[in-house]
Amino acid sequence: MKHLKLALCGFVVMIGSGLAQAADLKAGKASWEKLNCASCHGADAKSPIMPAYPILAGQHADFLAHALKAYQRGAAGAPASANVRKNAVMGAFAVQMSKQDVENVAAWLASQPGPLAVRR
Amino acid sequence: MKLFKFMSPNLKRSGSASIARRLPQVFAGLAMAASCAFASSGLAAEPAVGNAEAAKAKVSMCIGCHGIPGYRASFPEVYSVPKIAGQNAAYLQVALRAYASGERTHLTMDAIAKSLSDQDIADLSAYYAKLK
Repeated sequence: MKHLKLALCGFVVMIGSGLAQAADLKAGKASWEKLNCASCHGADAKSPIMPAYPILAGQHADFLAHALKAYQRGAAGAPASANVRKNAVMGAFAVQMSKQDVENVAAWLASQPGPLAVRR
Repeated sequence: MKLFKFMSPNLKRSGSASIARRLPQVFAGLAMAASCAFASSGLAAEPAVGNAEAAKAKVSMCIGCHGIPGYRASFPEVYSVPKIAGQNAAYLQVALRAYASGERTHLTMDAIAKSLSDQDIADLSAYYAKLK
Protein backbone atom coordinates (compact mmCIF):
# COMPACT_ATOMS: atom_id res chain seq x y z
CA MET A 1 0.00 0.00 0.00
CA LYS A 2 2.84 2.33 0.94
CA HIS A 3 4.50 1.61 -2.39
CA LEU A 4 1.29 2.21 -4.26
CA LYS A 5 0.90 5.60 -2.55
CA LEU A 6 4.47 6.55 -3.49
CA ALA A 7 3.91 5.45 -7.06
CA LEU A 8 0.69 7.46 -7.21
CA CYS A 9 2.49 10.52 -5.84
CA GLY A 10 5.19 10.14 -8.46
CA PHE A 11 2.58 9.79 -11.18
CA VAL A 12 0.78 12.96 -10.06
CA VAL A 13 4.06 14.91 -9.98
CA MET A 14 4.93 13.67 -13.46
CA ILE A 15 1.55 14.69 -14.87
CA GLY A 16 1.80 18.01 -13.05
CA SER A 17 5.19 18.92 -14.48
CA GLY A 18 4.06 17.81 -17.92
CA LEU A 19 1.03 20.06 -17.72
CA ALA A 20 3.13 22.98 -16.47
CA GLN A 21 5.40 22.67 -19.49
CA ALA A 22 2.46 22.50 -21.88
CA ALA A 23 0.99 25.60 -20.26
CA ASP A 24 4.29 27.44 -20.78
CA LEU A 25 4.29 26.65 -24.48
CA LYS A 26 0.68 27.71 -24.78
CA ALA A 27 1.44 30.96 -22.95
CA GLY A 28 4.45 31.45 -25.21
CA LYS A 29 2.31 31.11 -28.32
CA ALA A 30 -0.16 33.59 -26.77
CA SER A 31 2.69 36.12 -26.18
CA TRP A 32 3.89 35.61 -29.76
CA GLU A 33 0.39 36.41 -31.00
CA LYS A 34 -0.25 39.27 -28.59
CA LEU A 35 2.97 41.08 -29.59
CA ASN A 36 2.30 40.30 -33.26
CA CYS A 37 5.81 38.91 -33.78
CA ALA A 38 4.56 37.17 -36.93
CA SER A 39 4.18 40.53 -38.69
CA CYS A 40 7.97 40.53 -39.18
CA HIS A 41 9.18 37.01 -38.34
CA GLY A 42 6.43 35.22 -40.29
CA ALA A 43 3.48 33.16 -39.02
CA ASP A 44 5.63 30.00 -38.88
CA ALA A 45 8.59 31.88 -37.30
CA LYS A 46 10.81 30.68 -40.14
CA SER A 47 9.58 32.84 -43.04
CA PRO A 48 10.42 36.42 -42.04
CA ILE A 49 9.08 39.17 -44.29
CA MET A 50 12.66 40.30 -45.00
CA PRO A 51 15.77 38.10 -45.19
CA ALA A 52 17.51 40.61 -42.92
CA TYR A 53 15.32 39.26 -40.09
CA PRO A 54 16.23 36.00 -38.38
CA ILE A 55 14.59 32.59 -38.56
CA LEU A 56 13.51 31.83 -34.98
CA ALA A 57 11.73 28.46 -35.28
CA GLY A 58 13.81 25.67 -33.79
CA GLN A 59 16.49 27.98 -32.36
CA HIS A 60 17.80 27.08 -28.88
CA ALA A 61 15.28 28.28 -26.27
CA ASP A 62 17.99 29.56 -23.94
CA PHE A 63 19.58 31.55 -26.77
CA LEU A 64 16.25 33.15 -27.73
CA ALA A 65 15.64 34.07 -24.08
CA HIS A 66 19.16 35.49 -23.87
CA ALA A 67 18.57 37.59 -27.01
CA LEU A 68 15.35 39.05 -25.60
CA LYS A 69 17.11 39.85 -22.31
CA ALA A 70 19.94 41.54 -24.26
CA TYR A 71 17.33 43.70 -26.03
CA GLN A 72 15.88 44.56 -22.62
CA ARG A 73 19.34 45.52 -21.35
CA GLY A 74 19.99 47.58 -24.48
CA ALA A 75 16.68 49.43 -24.12
CA ALA A 76 17.46 50.10 -20.44
CA GLY A 77 20.74 51.79 -21.41
CA ALA A 78 23.01 49.14 -19.88
CA PRO A 79 26.71 49.59 -20.72
CA ALA A 80 28.19 47.78 -23.72
CA SER A 81 30.11 45.47 -21.37
CA ALA A 82 26.78 44.06 -20.11
CA ASN A 83 26.11 42.14 -23.37
CA VAL A 84 23.41 44.26 -24.97
CA ARG A 85 21.48 44.60 -28.20
CA LYS A 86 20.43 48.09 -29.21
CA ASN A 87 17.51 47.94 -31.61
CA ALA A 88 14.59 50.37 -31.55
CA VAL A 89 11.99 47.86 -32.76
CA MET A 90 13.03 44.75 -30.82
CA GLY A 91 13.89 46.84 -27.76
CA ALA A 92 10.36 48.28 -27.71
CA PHE A 93 8.83 44.77 -27.82
CA ALA A 94 11.24 43.23 -25.33
CA VAL A 95 10.56 45.82 -22.62
CA GLN A 96 6.88 44.82 -22.66
CA MET A 97 7.77 41.25 -21.72
CA SER A 98 8.08 39.82 -18.21
CA LYS A 99 10.76 37.27 -17.34
CA GLN A 100 8.09 34.58 -17.63
CA ASP A 101 6.91 35.88 -21.04
CA VAL A 102 10.51 35.68 -22.28
CA GLU A 103 10.93 32.07 -21.11
CA ASN A 104 7.54 31.05 -22.51
CA VAL A 105 7.93 32.55 -25.96
CA ALA A 106 11.49 31.21 -26.22
CA ALA A 107 10.29 27.70 -25.33
CA TRP A 108 7.44 27.87 -27.82
CA LEU A 109 9.70 29.10 -30.66
CA ALA A 110 12.28 26.41 -29.92
CA SER A 111 9.53 23.78 -30.20
CA GLN A 112 8.57 24.89 -33.71
CA PRO A 113 10.01 23.04 -36.73
CA GLY A 114 12.68 24.98 -38.61
CA PRO A 115 15.80 24.67 -40.78
CA LEU A 116 18.35 25.74 -38.14
CA ALA A 117 21.09 23.33 -37.10
CA VAL A 118 24.43 23.03 -35.34
CA ARG A 119 26.81 22.23 -38.22
CA ARG A 120 30.30 23.14 -39.25
CA MET B 1 39.83 73.88 -54.47
CA LYS B 2 41.03 72.05 -57.53
CA LEU B 3 37.42 71.62 -58.55
CA PHE B 4 36.80 75.39 -58.43
CA LYS B 5 39.90 76.10 -60.47
CA PHE B 6 38.77 73.57 -63.01
CA MET B 7 35.33 75.12 -63.24
CA SER B 8 36.57 78.64 -63.52
CA PRO B 9 40.30 79.08 -64.11
CA ASN B 10 40.31 82.82 -63.48
CA LEU B 11 38.17 82.78 -60.33
CA LYS B 12 41.21 83.51 -58.19
CA ARG B 13 42.06 86.72 -60.03
CA SER B 14 38.53 87.99 -60.40
CA GLY B 15 36.87 90.28 -57.86
CA SER B 16 33.73 89.64 -55.81
CA ALA B 17 31.54 91.17 -58.54
CA SER B 18 32.68 88.60 -61.05
CA ILE B 19 32.13 85.80 -58.49
CA ALA B 20 28.54 87.02 -58.18
CA ARG B 21 28.16 86.86 -61.95
CA ARG B 22 29.55 83.36 -61.93
CA LEU B 23 27.33 82.12 -59.07
CA PRO B 24 25.05 80.00 -61.27
CA GLN B 25 28.13 78.32 -62.70
CA VAL B 26 29.48 77.69 -59.18
CA PHE B 27 26.19 76.20 -58.05
CA ALA B 28 26.03 73.96 -61.09
CA GLY B 29 29.54 72.74 -60.27
CA LEU B 30 28.61 72.09 -56.64
CA ALA B 31 25.49 70.17 -57.67
CA MET B 32 27.58 68.07 -60.01
CA ALA B 33 30.13 67.37 -57.28
CA ALA B 34 27.35 66.45 -54.86
CA SER B 35 25.73 64.03 -57.29
CA CYS B 36 29.12 62.41 -57.91
CA ALA B 37 29.58 62.02 -54.17
CA PHE B 38 26.17 60.35 -53.85
CA ALA B 39 26.88 58.07 -56.77
CA SER B 40 30.18 56.94 -55.31
CA SER B 41 28.71 56.37 -51.83
CA GLY B 42 26.00 54.31 -53.54
CA LEU B 43 28.71 52.15 -55.05
CA ALA B 44 30.44 51.73 -51.70
CA ALA B 45 27.17 50.55 -50.12
CA GLU B 46 26.76 47.86 -52.78
CA PRO B 47 26.73 44.62 -50.75
CA ALA B 48 29.57 42.18 -51.31
CA VAL B 49 28.44 38.97 -53.01
CA GLY B 50 29.05 36.02 -50.72
CA ASN B 51 31.14 33.07 -51.86
CA ALA B 52 30.39 30.05 -49.69
CA GLU B 53 33.37 28.16 -51.11
CA ALA B 54 35.80 30.93 -50.08
CA ALA B 55 34.39 30.81 -46.54
CA LYS B 56 35.83 27.34 -46.02
CA ALA B 57 39.21 28.92 -45.34
CA LYS B 58 37.63 31.31 -42.82
CA VAL B 59 35.31 29.17 -40.67
CA SER B 60 38.02 28.09 -38.23
CA MET B 61 37.12 31.01 -35.98
CA CYS B 62 33.42 30.03 -35.98
CA ILE B 63 33.43 26.27 -35.53
CA GLY B 64 35.07 26.28 -32.09
CA CYS B 65 31.74 27.44 -30.66
CA HIS B 66 29.01 27.24 -33.33
CA GLY B 67 30.09 23.80 -34.56
CA ILE B 68 29.99 22.06 -31.21
CA PRO B 69 26.64 20.58 -30.15
CA GLY B 70 25.70 21.73 -26.65
CA TYR B 71 28.29 24.53 -26.51
CA ARG B 72 27.28 27.31 -24.12
CA ALA B 73 28.26 30.90 -23.43
CA SER B 74 28.12 32.06 -19.83
CA PHE B 75 27.65 35.81 -19.61
CA PRO B 76 25.56 37.38 -18.23
CA GLU B 77 23.35 34.28 -18.34
CA VAL B 78 24.29 30.76 -19.37
CA TYR B 79 22.89 30.05 -22.83
CA SER B 80 23.54 27.86 -25.85
CA VAL B 81 25.37 29.66 -28.64
CA PRO B 82 22.92 30.11 -31.51
CA LYS B 83 22.36 27.65 -34.32
CA ILE B 84 23.61 29.56 -37.35
CA ALA B 85 23.55 26.81 -40.00
CA GLY B 86 20.44 27.35 -42.12
CA GLN B 87 19.93 30.94 -40.92
CA ASN B 88 19.19 33.69 -43.48
CA ALA B 89 22.41 34.96 -45.07
CA ALA B 90 21.21 38.57 -44.99
CA TYR B 91 20.44 38.27 -41.27
CA LEU B 92 23.85 36.74 -40.52
CA GLN B 93 25.42 39.75 -42.25
CA VAL B 94 23.27 42.13 -40.20
CA ALA B 95 24.27 40.36 -36.98
CA LEU B 96 28.00 40.42 -37.76
CA ARG B 97 27.87 44.11 -38.71
CA ALA B 98 25.92 44.86 -35.52
CA TYR B 99 28.74 43.27 -33.49
CA ALA B 100 31.33 45.26 -35.45
CA SER B 101 29.47 48.55 -34.92
CA GLY B 102 28.72 48.00 -31.23
CA GLU B 103 24.96 47.82 -31.76
CA ARG B 104 25.25 44.31 -30.33
CA THR B 105 27.90 43.45 -27.81
CA HIS B 106 29.57 40.18 -26.90
CA LEU B 107 33.25 40.08 -26.04
CA THR B 108 34.24 37.29 -28.43
CA MET B 109 31.88 38.16 -31.27
CA ASP B 110 32.85 41.86 -31.15
CA ALA B 111 36.51 40.97 -31.68
CA ILE B 112 35.78 38.47 -34.44
CA ALA B 113 33.34 40.73 -36.30
CA LYS B 114 35.79 43.65 -36.19
CA SER B 115 38.48 41.44 -37.73
CA LEU B 116 36.28 40.56 -40.73
CA SER B 117 36.20 42.44 -44.04
CA ASP B 118 32.89 43.03 -45.86
CA GLN B 119 33.85 40.18 -48.16
CA ASP B 120 34.58 37.86 -45.21
CA ILE B 121 31.16 38.68 -43.73
CA ALA B 122 29.41 38.00 -47.04
CA ASP B 123 31.32 34.73 -47.59
CA LEU B 124 30.71 33.37 -44.08
CA SER B 125 27.03 34.33 -44.20
CA ALA B 126 26.56 32.58 -47.55
CA TYR B 127 28.36 29.51 -46.20
CA TYR B 128 26.27 29.14 -43.05
CA ALA B 129 22.98 29.91 -44.83
CA LYS B 130 23.66 26.98 -47.19
CA LEU B 131 24.81 24.63 -44.43
CA LYS B 132 21.66 22.76 -43.51
